[in-house]
Amino acid sequence: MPVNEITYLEGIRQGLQHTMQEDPDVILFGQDVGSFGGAFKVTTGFLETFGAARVFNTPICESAMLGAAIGMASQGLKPVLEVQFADFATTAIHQLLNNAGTMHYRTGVAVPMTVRAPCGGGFGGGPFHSEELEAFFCHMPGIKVVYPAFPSDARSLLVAAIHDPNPVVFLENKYLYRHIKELVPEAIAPIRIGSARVCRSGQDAVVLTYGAMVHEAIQAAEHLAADMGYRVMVVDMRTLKPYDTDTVIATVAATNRVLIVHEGWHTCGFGAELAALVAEQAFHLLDAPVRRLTAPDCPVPFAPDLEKAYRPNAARIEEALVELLEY
Amino acid sequence: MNDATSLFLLRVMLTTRAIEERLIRLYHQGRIFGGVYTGLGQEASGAAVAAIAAPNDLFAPCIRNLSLHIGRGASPRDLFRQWLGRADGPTGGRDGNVHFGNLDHGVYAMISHLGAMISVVSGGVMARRYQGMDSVGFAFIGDGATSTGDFHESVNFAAVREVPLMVVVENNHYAYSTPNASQFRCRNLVDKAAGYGIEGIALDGNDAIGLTEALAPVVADLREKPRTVLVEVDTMRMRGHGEHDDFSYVPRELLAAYAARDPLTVCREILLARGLINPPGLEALEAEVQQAVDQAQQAAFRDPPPSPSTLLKGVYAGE
Amino acid sequence: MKIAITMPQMGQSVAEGVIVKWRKAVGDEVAADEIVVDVESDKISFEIESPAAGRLSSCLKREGEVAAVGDLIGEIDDGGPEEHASAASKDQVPTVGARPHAGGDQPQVLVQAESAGSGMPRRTELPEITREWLSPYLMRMALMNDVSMDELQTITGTGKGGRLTKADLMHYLSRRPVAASSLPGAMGKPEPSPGEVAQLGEIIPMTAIRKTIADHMIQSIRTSAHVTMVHAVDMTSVVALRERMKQAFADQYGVKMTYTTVLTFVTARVLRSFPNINASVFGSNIVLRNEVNVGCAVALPDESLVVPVLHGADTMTFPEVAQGLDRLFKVARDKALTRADVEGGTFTISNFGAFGSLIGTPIINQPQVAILGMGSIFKAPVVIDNQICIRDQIYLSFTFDHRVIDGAMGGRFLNAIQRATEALDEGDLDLRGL
Repeated sequence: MPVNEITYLEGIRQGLQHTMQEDPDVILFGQDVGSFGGAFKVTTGFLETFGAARVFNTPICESAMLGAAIGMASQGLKPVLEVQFADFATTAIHQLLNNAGTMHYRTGVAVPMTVRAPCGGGFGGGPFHSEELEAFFCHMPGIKVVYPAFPSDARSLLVAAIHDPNPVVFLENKYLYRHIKELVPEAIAPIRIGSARVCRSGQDAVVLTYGAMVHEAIQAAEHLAADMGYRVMVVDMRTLKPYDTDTVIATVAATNRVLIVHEGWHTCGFGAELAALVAEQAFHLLDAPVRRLTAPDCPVPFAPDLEKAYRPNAARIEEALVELLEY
Repeated sequence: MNDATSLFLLRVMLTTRAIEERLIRLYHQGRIFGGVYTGLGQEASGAAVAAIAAPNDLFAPCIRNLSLHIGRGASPRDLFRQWLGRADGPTGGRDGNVHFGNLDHGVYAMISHLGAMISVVSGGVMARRYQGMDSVGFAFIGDGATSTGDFHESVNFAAVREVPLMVVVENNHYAYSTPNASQFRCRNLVDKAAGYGIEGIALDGNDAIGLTEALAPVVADLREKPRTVLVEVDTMRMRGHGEHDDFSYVPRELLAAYAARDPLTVCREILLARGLINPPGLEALEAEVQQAVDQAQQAAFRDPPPSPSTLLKGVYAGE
Repeated sequence: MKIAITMPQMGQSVAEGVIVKWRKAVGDEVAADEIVVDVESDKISFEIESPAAGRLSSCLKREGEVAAVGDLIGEIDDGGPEEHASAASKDQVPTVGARPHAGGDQPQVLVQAESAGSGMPRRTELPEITREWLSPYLMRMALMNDVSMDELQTITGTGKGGRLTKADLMHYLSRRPVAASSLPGAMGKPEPSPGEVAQLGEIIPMTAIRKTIADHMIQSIRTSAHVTMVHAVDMTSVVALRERMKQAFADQYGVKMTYTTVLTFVTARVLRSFPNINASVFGSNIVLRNEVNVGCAVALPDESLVVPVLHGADTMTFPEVAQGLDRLFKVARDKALTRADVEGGTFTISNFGAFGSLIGTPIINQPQVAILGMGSIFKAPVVIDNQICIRDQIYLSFTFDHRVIDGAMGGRFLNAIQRATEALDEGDLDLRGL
């Protein structure tokens, strides 16, 4: 079976391409997605391939764009809205929360739309081009949230998101776009929304994480294994709402020590949700307190030294793991 | 305009008025929970749009557009069930008062955030056009909603994308207690259209027949040459923002002036003058409407409320 | 000094770039801001202007080669002296136009924090705990494996503050013998309800003492691998000796000369030669005890059982053993035994012969590894020199822990006891002259 090495970005592009080819109801719009190919060049060539009726640019109006996506979806189309940065999706949160998230509950009308939002930092993007906002989206009823860390998962989960009859926020980590490569087969394997993946096995502790931090965690675990002989499991959550509670409990049962890592802010971050689940349902399985390693509660800083102190990385994950393992 | 349409307008407005007056009375009797917001005095534009529009058109009515709902097929029983939060109501008790719709009739259920539905109905019309239908969209909003970011973004978006959309702004001069002078600085609200590069039309909002006659050709043109237009209709809210509001901030003379030009009065006079109906016929129609409303109300009071066991159903589609 | 030319960050998500064309060759003069090299990513092309005036001193990447963002691709020699200022390191992510650190001006705190890898102020400390803190998982595992709190105390903890971790418990369990499950619950039968029980008969709750004894019994059974060997010992000469001496002994020493005393005396001395039997087990360690402290089980009128201990019994004379035991039994009956009276035992003797039993299977007194049970003395026909004789006999029931003592040693021990007992005379018991 032929395999290709693709980047995370190419995985997203392939997922989008595949669904648009298979289903004429998939419409793509957003700022600069047409002839420019999108700010990150995900949709290069899409306008030529699929035509102006299915691929078009919009003015800068995230709230109206999201409302229009709701309208299209309510009529049976499958709109994919590209928000240029997740940071700007905040101006559309009202439509997502109050309209998209409530429409089926209130009226029985399904809203099969997808919002693609590039997120995350690590390259000096500053406070408004680096935000991790998954906690905001996860808090909304009626919305699903997906956040892949690998090219193969990005591809498969985008297909799943577009086909889901509910509003799905598909988070794409900008740092991973071109930094991560993976060998993938031609055929796109289906992945169910709501399943996590153990991407590194181990039994001394488990790291529950997602997004760019998956790769930092794997690096930390490998270093720890070589240096000190600890074997640390790494779980990529992949979907944040609904999330895979079974895998969380099972991996805690297997290791009895948990470190939760995410790039978003600390207070009320997604890690708080995982920590609460573990405390509620895996209390009897804990050999040490649950730990979280996250960004602190401050805006994403710009200067390189500040951002490095702000954003969790492999070295700090390793440090937190050692503390946990030796507890 | 044909006779049937004229009578349709009258019937729709009579039904709307009867229902809302009943809701007001029930509210005062403490037999309705939540708020009651009526469109008393503003029935004309909804009825007119309902009359003009085609079967495949889409609508986003706002708070005071019950006449649009009625005109597009909502029954009095639906309405009472909705207000009483019944399990078999249009939203199953999940939302209250006028936050309901019926997409089979092309009517979107509004949310409280004003201006939010303009982009939704735009997207819906874009979808229908993509699907090969020649739909036109109608978004109703008030003067206050034209200040929101959503109004601005949505109208601009629709204008740029050339969505066949009629934005009907019902200028009833007060957004809750805020008069126009504190809401915008344009001399006329319709002037805002120029800022978006679209046509603006100003009309008398209390004359249903006049509105129908003026807007029918506009809609027909939109259907052929998709674009967005802004229509400002001048009207008056004859009650408070909600029934909990005593609207003492509205000058009584203003209310009196609009009362003299009540849409039902205006319509009845025209129909009588044109010989399309006579006093006995009118009386019979009014009685028929009243009886339908009575029956619907009584039945709705007997309908069951939603069970708490259904609380989490339908959060997600497909599950 | 050499000034770095690095691959710039050409867009937020870009990871690398390609050298398209060097506009200057190595050795060429370059003016400040003059374009030196063209690079591009898959999104955009850049012209890199020289960061200083000088000479292009090195080209580290050829045209067509790829460099990661931040990589050094060339250097400009500005002709000045070398400084300690370091060029932008690979670890930092430079923005377009980034200048190298000037060194001294930079706030040292940030640089240090960066190199330490943990610049973020620690928000949450893990709780300071002591060894008493047992995690939920540990408690559950202990419960499921019938590890008592006492046992947990004996395990070494390698966690923070010496606390027990899952690994410590697992390690301990892998060395612990498989416990016998004797509780009806464990067999899978449901326990009867209190109502059902009340219908069976009068309910008498266990006293605290009985419960403690019960626990110790069960613990002992579960800890040691109990094996009982029985030897018959000819007590005829001891019986005769006692008959002759008991009155004088009592007159002289104020205490009775009993068979328990005799066996205690003999056993204590024999134990000197059997350090593995005078031993205690702690966790996975066998301790060969320095002293021989023999305990004698005493049944008290309230049905409780105590084992007062005669410390250093092997160094005592026979009269001293008798007096020591007498004092202990008196104190025991008065319920005035001190901790010193009951602690430190290395071996136990249990005389159930007083109740008329011949043979028993006594339970080891933890953490000891053996216990000697004495049956009652009885007359029996015995074959000696092919003749049938009537002899006084006693069965000694010796229970030992098969984890640490094997049958051969057990047999040797009993043989030694037997020989010593059967050969006793006045001299051995310091009874000459009485």
